[in-house]
Order: sequence, then structure tokens, then C-alpha cells
Amino acid sequence: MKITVLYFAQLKEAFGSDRDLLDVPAGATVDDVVASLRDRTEWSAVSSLPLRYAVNERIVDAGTKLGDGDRLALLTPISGG
Amino acid sequence: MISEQPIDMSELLAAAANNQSGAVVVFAGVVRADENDGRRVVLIHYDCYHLMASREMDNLVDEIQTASGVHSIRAVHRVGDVAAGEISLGVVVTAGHREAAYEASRKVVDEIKHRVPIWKKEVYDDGSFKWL
Repeated sequence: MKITVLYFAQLKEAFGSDRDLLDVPAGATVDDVVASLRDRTEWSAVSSLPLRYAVNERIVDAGTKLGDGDRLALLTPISGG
Repeated sequence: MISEQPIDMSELLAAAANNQSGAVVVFAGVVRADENDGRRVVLIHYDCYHLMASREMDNLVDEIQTASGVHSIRAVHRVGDVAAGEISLGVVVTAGHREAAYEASRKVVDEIKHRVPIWKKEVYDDGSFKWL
């Protein structure tokens, strides 16, 4: 199945893009996808940042199963205002 | 509301005008030209997850308006590059009395900082930057 991973702020700069379209196995969880991203060399620049996750704009935990077409956003600590 | 345009507080205030509210509280969050380690902030770049940020802004405004009983709440967060001295966040609350208006205004700002997916990067006068 295909999902879109969305990056913001430091992650966007580290990956040089605001999104990736990934093909992942059916039943994949948020954690599975994040684990695969950790293998990338660019990850080292952001590995110390705490992350939260949102699927289709709703906060979820790392064990959440993904569905075809989902948008998975990786959220570093927010700092608006 | 999320906007890439400069925030016009007089426009926000005019939109809230009515003859039933005895209190109108106006809050403007402004980018400070702080100095950090000998570098001065010239602008803040705000990155944003637009879809989620718009939804969260609407939700928190609805929640606070319902819970507080104020007459109206208008909140706009600017994203993109905001220069020192410019407004990054505008909030206007109308209510029957000032206590409720002050409290709701403070809560809106607090909740935006905690819930809305917006990130800021300070850009300094020597060209360097730092995500906060």
C-alpha cells in the first residue's frame, strides 16, 4: 500500500523535502515506517529530536496501523505563537 | 485561521464590532529583536502543517468559546517569514464583561502554543538560524 510521510521544520530541512511517497506492506505500523526512515543517513541530524505522530491530521501512537493512502506526519515539538 | 499575509489588527477588531459586548480584548504577539550569543533576531520563519493547524485552531476556538461563554473569538496565526516588530499572532475576544474576555484570550494563546502544529526558526543578523 502507498502512504505519504510528511516532514516539517528540522525534518524537512534534513530530508530536503516536505514529503515522501512510500510503498509499505499491508499492516505496517507508524513505528515500522519510522524504523525504516532511521536507516537513512540524513536521520542522524535529527535523531535526538522527540517525535509525535499524526495520521490524517489526528495524533496517534507509534503502534497505530496504517492504511492505504494515509498521511503520516512526523511532528517535532511545536513552537507556535 | 492560518495566514501567510500580514495580520491587520484593525480589520480583526472591526470584524468583531457589535453593541452587545461590554469587553473587547485584543492580543498581538510580536516577533522580538532578541539578542542571542551576540546575534540579533531579524525574523522568525514559521513552518506549519496547514491542514492540521487550521483544524486545531478552529477546534480550540470553538472549545474555548463554548466553555467560556464569550461572545466571539477571532484568532489568526501568521506563517512564513515574519520580521522583528511584525505581528505573528492576533487574537480578538468579545464578551459581556472583561474577566471572561481576558481569560479566554489568555487560554487561546496558551492552547495555540500547545496544540497547533507550527514551528519557528529564528534567523539572525549574521545569516545563521536556530529552530526553537
